[in-house]
Amino acid sequence: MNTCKAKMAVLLAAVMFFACSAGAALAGSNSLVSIDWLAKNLNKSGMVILDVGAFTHYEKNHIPGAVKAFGPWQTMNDQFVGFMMPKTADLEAMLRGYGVNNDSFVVLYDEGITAHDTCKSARALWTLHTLGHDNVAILDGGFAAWEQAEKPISTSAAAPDTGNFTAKLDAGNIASLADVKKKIGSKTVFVDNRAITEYFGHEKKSHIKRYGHLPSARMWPANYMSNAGIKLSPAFMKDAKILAEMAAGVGIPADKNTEIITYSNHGVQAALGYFVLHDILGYKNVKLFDGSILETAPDQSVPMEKFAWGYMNQ
Amino acid sequence: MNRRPLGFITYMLLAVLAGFALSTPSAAKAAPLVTTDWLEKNLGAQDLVILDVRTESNYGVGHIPGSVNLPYEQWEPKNEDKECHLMATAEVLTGYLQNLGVNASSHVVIYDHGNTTSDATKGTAALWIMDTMGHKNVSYLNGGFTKWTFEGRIIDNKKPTPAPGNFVAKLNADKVATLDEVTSSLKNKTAIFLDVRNIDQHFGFSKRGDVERFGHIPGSLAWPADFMTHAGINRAPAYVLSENDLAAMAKGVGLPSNKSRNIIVYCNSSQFAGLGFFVLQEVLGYKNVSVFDGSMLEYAADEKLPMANYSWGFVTK
Repeated sequence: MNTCKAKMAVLLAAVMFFACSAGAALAGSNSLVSIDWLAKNLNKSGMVILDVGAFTHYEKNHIPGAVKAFGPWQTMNDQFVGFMMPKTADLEAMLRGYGVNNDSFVVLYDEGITAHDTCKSARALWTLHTLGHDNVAILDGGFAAWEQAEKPISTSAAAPDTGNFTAKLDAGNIASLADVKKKIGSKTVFVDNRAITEYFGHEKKSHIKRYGHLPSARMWPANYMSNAGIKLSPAFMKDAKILAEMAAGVGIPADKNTEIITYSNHGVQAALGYFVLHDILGYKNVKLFDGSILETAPDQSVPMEKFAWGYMNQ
Repeated sequence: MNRRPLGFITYMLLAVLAGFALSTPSAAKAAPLVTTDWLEKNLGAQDLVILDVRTESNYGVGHIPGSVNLPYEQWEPKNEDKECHLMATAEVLTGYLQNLGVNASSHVVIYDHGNTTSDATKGTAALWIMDTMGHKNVSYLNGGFTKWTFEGRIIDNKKPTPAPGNFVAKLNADKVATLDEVTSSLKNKTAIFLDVRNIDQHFGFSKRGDVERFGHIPGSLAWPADFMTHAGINRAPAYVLSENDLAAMAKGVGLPSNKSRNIIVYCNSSQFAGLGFFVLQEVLGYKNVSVFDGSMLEYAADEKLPMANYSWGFVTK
């Protein structure tokens, strides 16, 4: 009996060791973490969990220790067109307030019900990348999956100590309107992550000034990247293998060095495009067009096409 | 008193003009797309048959005065062996249409509920079937019953009792693609396939529960039927887009400018393909268009046939 117990203890220790080292490995390389992984690593030192969902949601219930991180992750730009990434100093102060240190591993989560919920986490992930913080991951399936797996839930708000996060802006992660104007018609691949009906110009949001898409843009709606709602599923991401098939199927070149610019209406759905291409599929040169169609449409010098798939003009 | 001759001349002139107006419907091929204005002016015209393809109960509540009813389901009944919808036979359709007073010389105007794109596909699919059965003088009421009633035009619930018509349906097989024709065209690349289902189904992101597999016929072009009407935009009825817009879209979705190319239109059941057929042949003048009658319900059930998934057919072809 004693030897059996000892063996069990050794086995347990080994499992714990592997679990911890897997955690460390994930922290270094994987930007999509599972519910089980987070549940096991909840109290690990250096872990910062940010709830980027609606604040009313956070106040009802959240993952224990998670910080209310409603933002703002986007603010009106100086010209009052486009919801853009805020000033670096403002973001740095905000993230310090959330308790983010330079050596933190940040896990982002959202309501996890629709694909658009995941887009909010993806926008925060892109923002952190752009500020030079690569140690960040999205919780696959968000709060809905956490709740479905019957993991512990807290109602008391976290009060983190101020962090020491220092932003190092990587401007290469952002495509500005000026960049986009220069790159239309070049080898740069534009990916439109909006609904197809908006891409085609059959419909548009009323505050968007013009119909259609940027010339020759590939279309890959953000909601195709998620299993949200399929047989009542929480917003789990599709398997990497399926996402790779889709990337080929929507006409994105296989060369991982291809320069890609993702866009949508407000740069939120485009962030899921960025996340899938950059983090899941390993494209090395992906930028997000921060101003997206909201900023582009009023500028008549930028061509937009409608009633066509952009592929036909290539 | 001395104005009488002038009045008489005016009267005669009007009578002659009216004679021309009345003779117009059967004289030449009618416009494929007619407006509610046109139809109201022509109510009661000689040899004009107004065909309502809505359900019997909708028709019973109220319909365009003088119209007769043949619900869409009877044009394309379910084939229990193949578990898909196939066109009723020429014999059956002859029976239906003669009962409703359709003559070979009639001008037939078809209308549907006209609220959603799905409604508009019923009337246009019925037009495809009339065309396939050899009746060349058929028009579709743009906007259907919804536009008619939105405009406050008169309706009634009287059921006409027409004298039996003399139209004899005869199948023109060129307008219908069978599963065999589809597979051989696919193999020999002799046709362009046009998928008019919603775009999520084309991509394989979703499918109808009764369709066996996800995806599209490899290499298909995609032009969702929803993009062909104004349905729902600012609460508009399902009226068909202008010829200019449709021509721009045809180019934009990759259809050839050569109007003689062989094009096979498909959807899930062939109902939506009716609108694709109507737009291509009647509005844009493509000469060689057919509808895959069994469509995805029949195609996807045969596991041996290739299916493309998670892609746009026009990218991977």
